This record gives sequence, structure tokens and C-alpha cells, in this order.
Amino acid sequence: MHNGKKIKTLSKAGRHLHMAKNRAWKKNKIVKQKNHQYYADILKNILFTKLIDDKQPGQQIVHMLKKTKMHYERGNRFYYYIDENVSLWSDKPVIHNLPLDYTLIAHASLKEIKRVACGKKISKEMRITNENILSAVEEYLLRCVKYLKNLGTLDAAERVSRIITEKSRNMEDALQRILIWNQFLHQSGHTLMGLGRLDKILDRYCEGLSNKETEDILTDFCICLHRHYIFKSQALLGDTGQLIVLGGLEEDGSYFCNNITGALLDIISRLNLPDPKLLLRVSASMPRKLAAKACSCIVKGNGSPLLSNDDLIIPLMQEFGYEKEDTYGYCTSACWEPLIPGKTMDQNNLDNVIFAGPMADFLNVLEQSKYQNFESLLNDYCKEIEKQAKRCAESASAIKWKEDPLLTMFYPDCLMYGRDISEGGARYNNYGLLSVGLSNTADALLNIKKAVYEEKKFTLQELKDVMKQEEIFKKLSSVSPHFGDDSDIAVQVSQRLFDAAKAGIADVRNSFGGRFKIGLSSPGYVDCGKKIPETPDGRRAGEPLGVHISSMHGQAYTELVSFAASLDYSRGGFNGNVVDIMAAPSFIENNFEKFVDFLQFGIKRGFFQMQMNVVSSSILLEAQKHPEKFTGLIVRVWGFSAYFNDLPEEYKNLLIRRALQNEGKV
Amino acid sequence: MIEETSDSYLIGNIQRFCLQDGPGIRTTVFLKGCGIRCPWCANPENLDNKIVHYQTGSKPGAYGKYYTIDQLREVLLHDIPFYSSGGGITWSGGEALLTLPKLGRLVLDLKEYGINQGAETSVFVSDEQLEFAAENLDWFIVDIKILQPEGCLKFLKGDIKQYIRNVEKLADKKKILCFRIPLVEPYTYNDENLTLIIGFLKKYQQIPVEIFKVHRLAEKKYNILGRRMDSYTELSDERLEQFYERLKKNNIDVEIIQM
Repeated sequence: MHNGKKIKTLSKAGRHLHMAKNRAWKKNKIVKQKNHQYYADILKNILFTKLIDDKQPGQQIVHMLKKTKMHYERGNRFYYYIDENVSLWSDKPVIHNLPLDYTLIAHASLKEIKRVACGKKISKEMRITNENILSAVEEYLLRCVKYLKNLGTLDAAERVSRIITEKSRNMEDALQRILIWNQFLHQSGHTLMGLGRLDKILDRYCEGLSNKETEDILTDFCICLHRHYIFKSQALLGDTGQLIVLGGLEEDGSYFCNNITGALLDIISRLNLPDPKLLLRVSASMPRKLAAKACSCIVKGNGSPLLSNDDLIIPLMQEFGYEKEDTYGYCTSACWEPLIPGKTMDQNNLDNVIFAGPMADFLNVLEQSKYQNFESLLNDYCKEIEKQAKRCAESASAIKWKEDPLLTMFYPDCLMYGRDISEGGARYNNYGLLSVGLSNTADALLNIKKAVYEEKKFTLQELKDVMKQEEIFKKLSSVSPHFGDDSDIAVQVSQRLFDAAKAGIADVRNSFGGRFKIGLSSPGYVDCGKKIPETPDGRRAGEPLGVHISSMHGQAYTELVSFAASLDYSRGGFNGNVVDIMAAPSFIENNFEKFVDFLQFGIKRGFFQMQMNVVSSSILLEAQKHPEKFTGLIVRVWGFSAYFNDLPEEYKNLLIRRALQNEGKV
Repeated sequence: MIEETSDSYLIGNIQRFCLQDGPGIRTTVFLKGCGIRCPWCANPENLDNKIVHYQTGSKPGAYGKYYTIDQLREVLLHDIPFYSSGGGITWSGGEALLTLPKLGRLVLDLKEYGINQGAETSVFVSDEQLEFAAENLDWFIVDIKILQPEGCLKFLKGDIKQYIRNVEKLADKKKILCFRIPLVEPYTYNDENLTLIIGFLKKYQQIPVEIFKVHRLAEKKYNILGRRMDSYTELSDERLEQFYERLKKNNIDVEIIQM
């Protein structure tokens, strides 16, 4: 999950080092013994790319395709190999973290793609670039066919060969094409690229396939996607962005799902791999059978699927300005941020608004005389949040993106107007911010309201001193109401803070004239928490901030969902709002049908999104002590699934604490 | 927190999203006060109709909180969107049926809203108390504990005749959702009592039965309340299974549950 602002400020040399360090760190976690070789490979890669003339757009991609080595292991249905040593770097941030629209790729031949991307109506410069890239793709495919024939794997060779001139005959053809382009994206530095609505895209190939055949083909596809797990991971192992979006509401009010929807839920339940990850677009009109299948997958504990509520999200996207017909095709970027494949270049994780950020400065200048009542204090705090959000948006607006002929080819608006996606050629060019610490800030302010203004236990000036007293500080965490309670006041204070952030970004426009959106989910709860001094919600300096919209005080799931459903996500507040739930496996298993009820009623009640960690505290504690016994244990972190053993200790500790809280053990 | 007034009612606890206390998704209200004294009681904080204070380390706490009827109604209606599929309110305790008539207005209001209401009860209550509940609630989960008259009086401080009479009344009105049997040696799990239970259940063959072994999870709660928990040991799985098989052989619709 890259932070665009961070990337922007890195120098060219720094970027090499950053990449090398990042990848070496990840690799180091898994294969320490290969560390030196890995550094050597990275250096080789840097030398390789530095020698290439970058003046002609797409030349690096052409060169990358020429140099990419082939590798195929016998017995595989699909050809899929990323040459990790031949991947591109850039001195500017690369557009990433969005799903490519694989529709054309899945169905059409390369010849057809050429016809679309290099037609007479395309500007001369763009046509030449596209021809160069697609010719290099053709050469690569021919090389691949030859390689596979030499190995005697004729089926795979023919399937790759057909890509060049024939449209897809069946599901295997379509998936092979998706895998080839998925490889190109990863190698060309496009990280965290989702797979999009594969059940919808592949729908036409369901006919004539038995359930068993469908499941076998998709299983092989999923196993392929799990390869190169370390290479694909970004800030944390598992942060690969390989998200498949399933199901969804149609414009006519019906709900779309098919054999592939169910099959992928079954496959991910069975394979128990962190990759690929699933997101299920849910709606009140979805069949109960599918909701039950989703629960069966969730209870396996692999973190999939994240549930995304179409009944709420689609109208919010329309209100923001996306065309009605586009919104029904929405996907999310790597985790939770809704956008439209093939039409948006929306870069959604550009910075974090940290709600608890102004707290320390604010506490220093608190004067009772200035704040005669809680309302005036809350007003001033909201103004600080508004300013912070505006600063984040203005800073992100200035990002210059690396020109991107590869992605541009698959954006019809870019082709039509001859404008690269990096220059705002897509139909929508909005940016998104994340936010973190709303729960801590709302709780802190609710505590001040109660202790200073209602019970008058101490004055504002005394608050800082009071926080130094251990006993009183501890008690602050148990004062109610809290963020997550569905009481009017908890909702109101949380909403005021959220609205302040929305107000801060409302008038900012990026360099393409695009607008900003924000959401109440972020991967920053651990890292941002490290920088934040203690807060008067009972959180110590440096401790993690609250995770998305989650229960920190044992609220019932229904209460948390009602709280989340009471928040107003309009006016750009829809950039991912995940209710994050911890649950013990036995709790769901013993009450399965009622849990399905809970999901269905929760959708109607109006949660925005929901994800679950289904694991008991005892398992997590045991896994922390004896990682060797739990190599396959998967958990949900940020907005993706990952192996528990691969997580830094602070993330493990946080998950354990939350599981204990959920089970009422702390 | 509001204090005790003529308009306020002491409630032990309110738990939302309860999945094991009746059909659907429920909110369970633990009322205070109980007419019997089960040695294995898992909710000792609710035996008496008063706030019970405790201390864990330096942290003081209290079991029980006063609510007005309006406040209670508001809390109990929060989860209305989740009460479809038969969910609703479960009155528990203590002995729910003892206190319920005092909350009459609320019970009737909830009935007006069409909210399903049930109670977990041991039915050691007066005719009037039973009558009110039977009239206004949709179903009852009825405990079967000690059916031996002397044991019932000695250990539970209960009158077995009152119990049997009340079960018959609820059964006549077809309001018993299921029987629930806590199994604990030697109180409920002894040959004579088990035989009596089977004989008793034969009269109510159409009513399902849930059995469970009584755990000792409440021991921590006894400690912080400064009370001593009875020294019974948890029943073995084997013995639980033996009784399950015995009930099955007698054509009783039985299920083992975890409590």
C-alpha cells in the first residue's frame, strides 16, 4: 500500500534503495540464506533499467518483454511466470492500486487489442507507442509458444498461441490471457493491481462447464496467482493487492452472481491461501445461499471475503459524480476503495488524515475561559481536522505520475482523446485519502465532555496533569459512551469529526480537476500511532490507533453495525469504511444460520463494508510462541489476508489484544 | 447513571446479539432476584434484587444498573432490524418471571411493537407471576433441575409441586419452546433424579430437550464477589453422552448444547 506523497519525495537513487531495501527486507524474512543473492539480483536489475533510453514512451516495456526469461513447471494448466529480475523502476510514482479492466484482454485476441489501441482514430504518437508495445507482446508470446513446444507441452503452447490471433474459446483461454497481462503489470512496476469482477467477466464461459470443471480450472488459476507472493507484496508480506471482486447489484435492481461466484468462495475456503483475496459485493437482494457460502468462507479464517454493500456504495458514488451506469460496475482497488475499472485512474491512498494528530497541541492550549462549553471545544477541534485534511489533499494534488502507455491502452477515454492516463486521460481522475484514529479522538472528546463539562471532575487545564496519574488514565478507557456505541452522542461526535475532514477536502481539486474522497479505514493504525502522544481515551503514547471501525469496548456486533450504519458517508466519505470484526471460530460454527441472518440484516441496516478475523486468542497466542506449528495460519490485517507468522510483532500483539477483548478476557 | 426511584428498575445486565437464548438474534435482559438457590448458579450477582459491588484489583465495579422504562425501551429497540427471523427479547435472570410483572408496561409495549419475547425460567414463581408471563410472552425455555421433592427443597429451596403445576400450565398453553437440563453431580446428575426426569419428559414428548454440563467459568465471578463457589466437579463427556443416549432410547428429542 504505497503512500504517493512518500514516493513523490524520494529521489531517484533513494527510490532504488527504497525498493531494494523493501524487497530485501521482505525476502529476508522468508529466505535469509538467499539474501546476498537477492541484493545482487536487485543491483543487476537497477543497472539494466538505467541503460535504457526512456525518451520513447513504452521503450522500457518493450525492452522488459525482450529480456524476460521463460519458466514453466510441467503439469501446470497455465503458463505464469514473473521474471523478478527484470522489472521496471521509475523516478516518478507509477499509477497503481487499481484493477485493470480485463474484459478486452480476457475475450479478445492480441490482434483485436491492436485494432482497438492502434486504430486510425488514435493519435499518431499514441498509435506508434501502442504498436511498439503490442508488437513486443506478440514477440514475447511467440517466444513463449516456442519455449512451451520445446518442452513438449502442446496444450499450453496452443493456448498461448491462440492469444495472438483468436478470441478466447473457453474459460481456460480467458484466464491464461489474464495471467499473462497480470505478469506484465507486476513486472512493469504496477503494484497492488486488482483482478476485477472475474465472475462477471468470465460469465460467458460458464455454459457447458460442469461445476467440477469450473472449480478445477479456477483452482489452478488461484494457485498461479499465489506464486511470486514475496515479490508482489508491498509494505507487508501479503499486501499484494490481488483482489477478485465477486457478485454485485445490477442497474435493473437484480443481483448478479453465477457458478464462478460460488466456486471462488469454495476454492478460497478450501485452499486456505492468503492470495488471491476476495471481495463480495453484497446487497439486500442477494440470495441467502450466497450469503451462507460467504459465511462458510469467512469461518475458515482466511480473511476473505471482504463484504462491500452495494445498496449504500452505488448511490454514494452517483452522488459524488460518477455516471449511474458506471457505478454498477464498481470494483475496489487493492482493499476497500471503490472505483471503476477502465474508467478511473483514481489513486486512493495518497495520505492519511490522522484524527488524533492535533490532540497534543490542542491539549497544550486548552483554556477553560475559551471553552465555556463542549460545543465550542469540539468546533475548534473540527477546524483543526479540516485544516489537516485540506493540507493532505493539497499536497497530494501536486503529484506527477510516471507516463504509463501500458495502462493507457486499456482506457477507452485515454485512447479517444490521445491523452496518457498519467496526464488525466481517464474518464474520472479523483484522488482518495485515508483516515485513522477517529475512534481514539471521538473517545477522548467524549471523555472531556463527561469529565470536564458534565461531572466537572477537573478543569481543562488540569486535564494534562490528570493524564499523568496512572489510575485515572487507565479509567479513561472505560468511560462510556464510546465510539462504536449506537448512542446518539457517540454517533454525533464521530460524525462531526468525519464531516470536518470531508469539509477540508471538499474544495480541493487535483491537477486534473479531479475531486477528493476520504474513508474511515487505513493501514496506518500502527505506524501513525507510533507518532501520536498519549490521548485522553486511555491510549498510551506510541500505541496503535483504533483499527478502522471496530469495537474497542466489547460492543455487540449488532451495536457496532448500527453505529457504522448511522454514520453519513455522503459528500465524498466513501473511500472505504470497513467494520472490522474479531470472532472466535466456534462462535460462528455453533450459530451458523443466525450468523447468516446477522450478515443479511446488517446489509439492510446499512453497514458500508465489513471484514472479519475469525480466530481465537488461544490460537494466536500459541502461534506467537510456536510459529513453526502454525505456518498456515492466516489473519486479516489492513484490508488484506496474510500469514500470521509473516507479520511484525506489533501487528501480532494488536491482533491478540483484540481477540482477547472480543472474548471478554481483558 | 440514574438512582433508584419509583420510576426506575434495577437490571442486572443487557446483552445484545445473543444467539443461544431462543430463536433468531436476541437481546437478553438479566433481571435481578431469584426464588431458588442452585448451588452451581452461574449468575450469583443476580440472585438478590440489589446492586452488587465488587473490586478487581484497584478497579471497583458494580453488577446492576437502574433504568427507567423509557430508557429500557430505547435500548431494547436498538436491534429491531436484527430481530427478523424470529429474534427479539429474552428475559433471563435471576428468575425472570419474578420481576417481569413489575415491568408490565414495557412488556406490553414490546408486544405492541410485535417483538418476539421469551423467558428462560425455572418456574418457581407464584400463580400470578406465571399467569402474567404466560399471557404476554411467546415462549419459555424451562429448566429441569432436581425433581426429587426433598432434594429440590434441600438444595434449591424450591417447592416441587409449584414447579410441576407451573410446567403443566405452560405446556397446556403450548408455550414451552424447550426444556433445558443443567447436568451437575450430584445435584441433578444422580440415578434417581435422571430416572425421574425421563419419566417427567415422557409426559411432554413433543417438547425438545437441551442438555449441557455445568462448567465452572463463574468461579472468577464468585471470587470477586467474595463468595465461595460450590465444590462440584464438571461432569465428564462420557457421562453426558450416557444420559444423552438414555434420553434418545426413550424417544426424547434431545440435543447437547454448550453453555
